[in-house]
Amino acid sequence: MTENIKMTCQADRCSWMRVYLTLLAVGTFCSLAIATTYEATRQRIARNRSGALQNAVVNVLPGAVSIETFYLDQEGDFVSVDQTLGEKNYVVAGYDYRGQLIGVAIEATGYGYQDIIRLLYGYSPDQEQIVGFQVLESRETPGLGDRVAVDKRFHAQIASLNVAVNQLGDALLNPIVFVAGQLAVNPGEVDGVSGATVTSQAITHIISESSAHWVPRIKRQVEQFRHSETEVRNAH
Amino acid sequence: MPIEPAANPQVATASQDFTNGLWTQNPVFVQVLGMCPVMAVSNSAINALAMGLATATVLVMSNTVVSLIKNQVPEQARIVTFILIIATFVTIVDYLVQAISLELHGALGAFLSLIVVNCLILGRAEAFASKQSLRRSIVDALGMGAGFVVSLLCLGIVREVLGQGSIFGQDLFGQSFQVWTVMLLPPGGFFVLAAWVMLFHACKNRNRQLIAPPNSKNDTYQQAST
Repeated sequence: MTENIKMTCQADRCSWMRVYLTLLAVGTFCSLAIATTYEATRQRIARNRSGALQNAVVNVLPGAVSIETFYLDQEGDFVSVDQTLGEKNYVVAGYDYRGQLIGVAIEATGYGYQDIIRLLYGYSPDQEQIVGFQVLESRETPGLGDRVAVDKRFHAQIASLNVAVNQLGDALLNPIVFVAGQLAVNPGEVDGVSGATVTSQAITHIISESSAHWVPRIKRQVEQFRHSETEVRNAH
Repeated sequence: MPIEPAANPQVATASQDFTNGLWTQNPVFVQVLGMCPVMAVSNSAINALAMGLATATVLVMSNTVVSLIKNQVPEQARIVTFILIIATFVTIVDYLVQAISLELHGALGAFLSLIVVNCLILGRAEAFASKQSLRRSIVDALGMGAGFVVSLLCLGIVREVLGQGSIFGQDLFGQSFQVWTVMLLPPGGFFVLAAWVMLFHACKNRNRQLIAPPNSKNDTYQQAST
């Protein structure tokens, strides 16, 4: 009787040992496989990301051929850095082939109908207007909300918004507002895409908040973006 | 007169194993497995194709490894080992898709990572690969994977044509086409799936009647579902 119990215990311990060893072996194999794939694809993925960002910047700043990232530091100065967008306080300046400043691409995020919408828009300090925008990430309803990303009329409205700053230089002259159910007539007004009212309102709101924050700061320090033009020209 | 060897119904040929997944036990239209990605990412042909291929890749790789280690894995650690292996291959495929195209990765979104809980894959590992030889497991995974890709494509093409008037992003009908938006939304997925299941079973029944006349017993064709 006792013999029997002892034997089962031993068999049990043996089988548990086997379970541990199997899981250890499989776990080791799996982590090795994942680490190898991560290392093998890392550079390619990083290149894809920076390529996608560059494409987006060129898209929202028509005519740009080279870009440079700037960081807004504590004192309100823009400092050129190697960092890419994706975090707060970074903007990307775009330059044409002669090194002239075309504009600044700004990333903005906010809530849409379903989830967070991430978008990029281009601001031209010389024309004092928004010159382009692109939705980077959205999970809006297919066929309804996501039409905003490709709607030509809505694009044209956003990409011609006047964002001149007031005389004090601390706010927009015409704050960007969304007008529901009617056509936009006054400067700063945007009307929506039918069937995608919530999303177009959300995008207008995101750009309105972001531009109220960024445009006066960029306008004030615009020379700091131009300053690097000489460096770009020297580099060529 | 030579004696013909009796056909053993237990031993399936490679082509039978393959068509089992593609047609007889089609994962979407017959077994109705993995409905979550089938509904969610079949709103365009390219998304459906990418999702199908990603799932099929994971299925082939996990079936291969599960079949290779089936004798070493103790009974108690079976499921957890299979899940570990499947999750590993899903992560690998996720990295590969990111390396191929970020845009595609964005379109597939969370559903790419959710391949890990696709019951089709764990189902094949548990019901087939853990009991069969390596060769049969790979053929089975290829068949099931092909069946999944084809079914997803069937849904994706119909939904894209009706909902966007295009196929693989190529415009079909021009500006005057009135899109049927509901086809891109979840209800459209259910409608299209129902239509395909109906068509699929109508074809199957017709084949069955052609092979065996209605009067004769056709029990042999009613394969016991697993």
